Amino acid sequence: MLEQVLLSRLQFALTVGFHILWPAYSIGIASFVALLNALWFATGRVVYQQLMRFWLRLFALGFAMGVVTGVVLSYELGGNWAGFSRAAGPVLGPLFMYETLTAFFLEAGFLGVALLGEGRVGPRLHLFACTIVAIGTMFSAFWVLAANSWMQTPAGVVLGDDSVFHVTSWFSVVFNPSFPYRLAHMLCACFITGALFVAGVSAIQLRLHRAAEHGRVALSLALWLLLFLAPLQLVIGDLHGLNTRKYQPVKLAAIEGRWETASSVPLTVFAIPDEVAEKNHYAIEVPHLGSLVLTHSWNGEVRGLKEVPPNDRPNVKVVFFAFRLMVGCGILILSLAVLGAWLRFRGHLFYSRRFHWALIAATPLGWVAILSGWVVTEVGRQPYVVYGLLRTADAVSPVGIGATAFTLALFFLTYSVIMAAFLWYWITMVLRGPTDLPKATKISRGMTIPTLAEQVIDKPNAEQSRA
Amino acid sequence: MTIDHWISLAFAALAALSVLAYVLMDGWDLGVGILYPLVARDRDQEVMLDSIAPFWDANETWLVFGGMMLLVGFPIAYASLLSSLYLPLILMLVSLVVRGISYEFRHHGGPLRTVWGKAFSFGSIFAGLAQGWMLGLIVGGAAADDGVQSTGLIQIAFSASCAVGLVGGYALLGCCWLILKCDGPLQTMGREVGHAALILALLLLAAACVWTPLISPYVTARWFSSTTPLTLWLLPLATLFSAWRLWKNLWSIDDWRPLLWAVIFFFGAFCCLAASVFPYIVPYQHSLFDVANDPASLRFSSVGVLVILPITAVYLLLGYRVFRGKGSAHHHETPYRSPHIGSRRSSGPSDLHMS
Repeated sequence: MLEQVLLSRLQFALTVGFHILWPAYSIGIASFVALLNALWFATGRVVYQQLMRFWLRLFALGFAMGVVTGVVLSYELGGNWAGFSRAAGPVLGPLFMYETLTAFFLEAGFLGVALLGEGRVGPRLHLFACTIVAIGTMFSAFWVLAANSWMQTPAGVVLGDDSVFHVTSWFSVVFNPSFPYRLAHMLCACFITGALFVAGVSAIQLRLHRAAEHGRVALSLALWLLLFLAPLQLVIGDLHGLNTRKYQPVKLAAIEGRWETASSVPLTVFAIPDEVAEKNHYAIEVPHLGSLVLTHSWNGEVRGLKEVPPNDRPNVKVVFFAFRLMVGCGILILSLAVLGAWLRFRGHLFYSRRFHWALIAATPLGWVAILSGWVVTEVGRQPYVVYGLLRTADAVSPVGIGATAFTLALFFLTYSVIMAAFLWYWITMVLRGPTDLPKATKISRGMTIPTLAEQVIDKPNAEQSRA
Repeated sequence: MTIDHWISLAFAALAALSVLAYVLMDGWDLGVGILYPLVARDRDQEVMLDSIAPFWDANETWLVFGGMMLLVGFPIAYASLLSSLYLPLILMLVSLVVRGISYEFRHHGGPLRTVWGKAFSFGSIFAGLAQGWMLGLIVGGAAADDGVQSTGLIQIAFSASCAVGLVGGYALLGCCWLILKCDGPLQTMGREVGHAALILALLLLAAACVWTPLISPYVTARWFSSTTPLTLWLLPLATLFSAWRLWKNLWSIDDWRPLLWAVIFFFGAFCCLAASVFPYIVPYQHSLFDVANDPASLRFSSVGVLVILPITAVYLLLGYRVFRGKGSAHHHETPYRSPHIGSRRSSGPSDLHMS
C-alpha cells in the first residue's frame, strides 16, 4: 500500500508539475500578446504587429502543451485518487466544472480566432479575441487555485459520517483563508515567468543583431514589468508566509527547519535537516531574523516540528531545500530587474553584452521558482491531501503497483520526448525571429512576393532612417 | 419522483450529452487522424489537417467538461469508473497527448515532419480504440469495483468489437467532415471511404448487439422482456434509418448532408446505449439516483450550467461560423468539382492516390 501511495504521488507530481509549466508560460505570454495587440491597434507601429505575431506563434506552441497535458489531470484525479474524488467530489467538482466553463472553453473558443483569424475578422475583433484568451488563462488560475487552496486550508464544509465533505458555504470554500495569497503569489509568478521569457528572447534578438528594433521594444517592456513585479512578489510572498504560519504551522516549521517551538528564533540560511535525530546539521543562522521575518516582531514565537508526532510531519529535507531554491531564484530575478534599471539609467541596456547573456541564461528561472514553490506547498501539506482532514494514504486508488509503475514510466517517456521536441521547435522559432513571416501573400504555388510591410521589416534600418 | 430525483436525472443527461458532444466533435478530429494514412500526398494531408486547426482544442475541451460533469453529478461513479478502467484510461490520455502535440509539431515542419504525422495518426487510432475498449468494459459491467476487471474471453471479444467499431465510427465522422470542409480529391476520398467506414461501424455494432445477451443479462432483459414497451424499439429503428439515409447521402450534392446524418446516426446509437443501461451510471452497481452528489453541490453547479453553458455554445458556434467554408490547396487554381457529384458511383477519373 505504501508503494501504491508513493508511485501514485510520483505520477501525479510528474504530470501536474509538467502541466503547470504551460499555464505559467501562457498566462504571462497571453497578456503580453494582448498588450502588443493593443499597442499596435493604438499606435499603428508595424513593430508591434510583428512582435504580436511572433509571440502569438510562441504562445500557441506552449498553449498546446498545456491543453494536452491538462486533459490528463482531469481524468487522472479519478483514476489514481478515487478515495479523494469520492470524499472531496462535492467540493471540488463544481469548482473544476466552473473552471472548464469559464476558462477552458473561453480560451479554446477564442484561440482559433486569435491565431488564425487575422484577415478573417477585423482588427477590433482580433484584439478582443486576444484579450479574451488572456482573461481566460487568468480565470483558469482563479478556479484551480481556489481548489488547491481549499485542500491546504479547508473551510466552508462539514465532514459527514460517510467521510465525505459536505459544503455549507460556497463563499467560504472559494475564498478560503489561503486563497487570496496563493492566487496573488501564483499570478505574480506567472507574469514574472512570462517577462523572463520575453526578456531572454529579446536578448537573443539583440545578440543576433537581427530584428534589433523588436528586441529593444520587447526587452524594455519586459524589464519595466520585472522591476515592478519582482519587489511586489517579495511582499506577497511575505504575506503568504504569515498566512501559512497561522493555518499550516507544521509546513512553516519544515520550511524553516525548526524543530523546537521557541521565541526570538534565528533565520536558518542553510542547514542539513536530520529527521531521525530531529535537529539540523551545519546550520548557518542569523539571530532574531527568523522571528522578524515570520512574525514581524523581534522576539515572536515560531512553532516547531516536534509539536506533532513524526508521522504527521512532511518530508522536511524536500520542503526545506525547495524553499531555499525558490527564494534563491527570486533574489536572482530581483537582482536582474534592478541591474536592468541601472543599465537603462546609464543608457547601456541595449548594448551590454554580459547583461544580455545573463538574461538569456535566466530565461527559465521563473519555471524553476514556480516548480520549487509548488514542491514546498504540496510536499509541505503531506501526509494529508486535505490538510488535517484526509490523509493521502486514504485517498489513493488500489489500481495495482505494476499498473501504476507502468503508467508512470509511460508518462515519463512521453513527456520527455515532447519536452525535447517543444524546446527544439521553440528555439528554432526564436532564432528565426519576428521578421520571418510564414504568411506571405501567395500569388501561385511556389512563388511568393513579400508585401510592403514585410519589405520594410526586412530592412530594419528603413524605419529608423525615416524617423 | 422528488425534485432531487429530477435534478439527478438532469445532471446525468447533461453528463451524457457532454460526452456525446465530445464523441461527435472530437470524433471528426480523431477521424481526420484515422484517415490520415490513406492520404499519400503531402499537399492533401496539409489541407485535411488545416481543416481542424481552429477547432481541435475546443473539441477536446468537451472531454474535460464531460469528465467534470460526471465528477460534479456523481463523484462516486467518477471515482469507481475511472479507477477500474485505469489502464485503458491512461492509454487513452497518453494517446491524446501524443496526438494533440504531434499535430502542433507537424505544422512546424523540420526533418521529423513525417514522424509527427504518423504519431498524430497512431495517437488518434489508439485513442479511439481505448475509448471503445472502455465502452465495452462499462457495458459488460466490468467497471463496477475499484481496480477489479473481469477478463473473460467473451468480455475481451465484446470490448474488441466495440473498440474497432468506434474507430470505424470516428472514421465515418472524419469522412463526413472532409466532405463538408474540403473539395477535390479529399472530398472524393471522404465519400468513398465513408461507405467502408459505415459498413465497418455497422458490422461491429451488430456484433456487439449479438454478444450483448452473453455479456449482460440486464441489457437483454431491457430489450427482450415482456414488459419492454414497443416504443423503445423506435430508437434502434431510427438509428438504422439514419444509417440508411447516410448511405444514400454520401454522394449528395449538399456537402453538409452526410455530416448531419452521421450526427443523427451517432445520436441514435448513443440513445440506444443509454436506454440499455438506464438507470445505471456505473452499470449494474450504482444507479444514478443512488450516487448523485449533494443537493448543495448540484444547485451551485446548475447556475453555471444554465447561464454559462448557453453562452459557451453560442461563441463556439460563432467560431465554426468564422472559419466556415472549405480549405483547399487548390485555392488559386481552377476550382475542382468531381464530375460525378450527385451520383453514388465513383468510377470517374480521380487523381486520388491511396497507399
